[in-house]
Amino acid sequence: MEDIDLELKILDYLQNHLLEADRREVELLRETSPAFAAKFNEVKQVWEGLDLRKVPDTSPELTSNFQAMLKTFELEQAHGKVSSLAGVLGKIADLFVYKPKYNWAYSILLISAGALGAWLLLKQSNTNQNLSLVENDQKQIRVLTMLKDSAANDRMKAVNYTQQLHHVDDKVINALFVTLNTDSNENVRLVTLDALLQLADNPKVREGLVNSIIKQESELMQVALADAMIQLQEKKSAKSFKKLLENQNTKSPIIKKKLEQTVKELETI
Amino acid sequence: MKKNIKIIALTVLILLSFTIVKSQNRDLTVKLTNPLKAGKLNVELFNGSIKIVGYSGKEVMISADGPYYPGKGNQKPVKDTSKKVSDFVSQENNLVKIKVEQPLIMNFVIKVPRNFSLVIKVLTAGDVDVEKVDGDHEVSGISGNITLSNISGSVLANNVRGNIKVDFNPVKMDAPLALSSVLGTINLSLPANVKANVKLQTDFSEIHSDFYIDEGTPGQKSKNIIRRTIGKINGGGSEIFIKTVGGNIYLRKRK
Repeated sequence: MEDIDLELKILDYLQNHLLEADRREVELLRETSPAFAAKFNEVKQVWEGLDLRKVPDTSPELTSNFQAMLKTFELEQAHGKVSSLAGVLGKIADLFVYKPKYNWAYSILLISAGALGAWLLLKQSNTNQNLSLVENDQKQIRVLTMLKDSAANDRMKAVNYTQQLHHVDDKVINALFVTLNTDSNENVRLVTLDALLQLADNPKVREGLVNSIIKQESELMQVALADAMIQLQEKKSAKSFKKLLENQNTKSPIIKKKLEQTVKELETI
Repeated sequence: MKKNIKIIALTVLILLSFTIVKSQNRDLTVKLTNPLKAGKLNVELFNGSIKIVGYSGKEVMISADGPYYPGKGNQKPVKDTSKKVSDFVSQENNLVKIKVEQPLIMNFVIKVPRNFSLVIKVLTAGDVDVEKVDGDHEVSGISGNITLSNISGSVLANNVRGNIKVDFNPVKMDAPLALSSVLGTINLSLPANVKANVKLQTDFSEIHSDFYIDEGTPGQKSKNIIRRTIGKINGGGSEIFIKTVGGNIYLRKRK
């Protein structure tokens, strides 16, 4: 046995790395040969003098983690090398790829801008509406006073004025009916009828107009109401015109003709 | 011979003086309470014609013919000489009133300041003729014709069997204009540049106009309303309303 081999074997023995057979051989030689025993002690002294720090063994987890890292790194390297051009192209292509999140962001932005705009507009139109309501009320008051004016042209202006109002309340409607039925000027009454006709969506107005027929003595008003009733398709007004035809014998033939025509047309509705 | 001439001259003089006295009896000058302010004339005649002319003076000058009582049957009307013009006229606060009641017939010729408003009512027959008066006018007749020429302001005129003819110059903005007659023709002349909203309607006759009337979108039409025009002239403005049952309507440009 050569010295080096011998020394290695002793070292292995000291580190407990030997198999059972080699171990026994080393122990047998130590007991039997003084030269080997001397050698053994020498090596043992050196070994112990080395004061080797024990390096902890790596844990199995660490090893597997390391292996996994290594593997992915290798894979990445392989991919990167193959497609550096494709990577650039891919990034460009990315710009054109449909990305719902941008759409959503844009939509939300638009909706909120729209909502803000609508709110501002509504706020403004509300104040406008309030203003015009006040204005409308003032106009209505003016109409009411003008309708009582002694000058027919002022009453006429008042009636024309009602056609510019956005909203006409019951007070004005009642005042218009007083004018329609009692105003001394025939033209004022005729124009009032036109003004009321524009409010005929209101059932009160329709009823008032039907009731007004028998109150009108002027032939022109009777004819104007006849036209109005046909425009409104007021079938029940036919009775009133029949009454007018029965009551007055002095009517001119053309008025008679007109009223008879009206009754006929109303009855066919 | 000389005596004869003297007698003739004397009788002529006497006759002349008589007519002067008579005409003084028929004429009346009415001073206004406040001549600086516009006045108003209110006339109500049972029967008779009336002519009113605007002039540059400040007084109302009234001359009258009558009154007459209507003759029985086919007889001529009989003049009532006991009554003076002043019996029918009053003035208070620039409002001049003339009222002639049933059954009297009386005709008038009246001069008024150019700036005057008229309210004229003729309850039976008689023409109304007004010239060069600016103001707010209301005229109503039955069987006579109503003629207003060279006037301005607002006009509300209605008639039954008579015609209405109005010649405006110029039209005041915002002044209403309404003319109606049952059977008469209505003839309205306006300056070509007038801005107006018009409503024209005749039941049995026709509407003629040389104005362009913008009717916008046509509304509902009934077969009973055979002629109706509603629209704007020169973009719209003053309200103009014309209605007749049996007469034609003429809306003309003033020349």
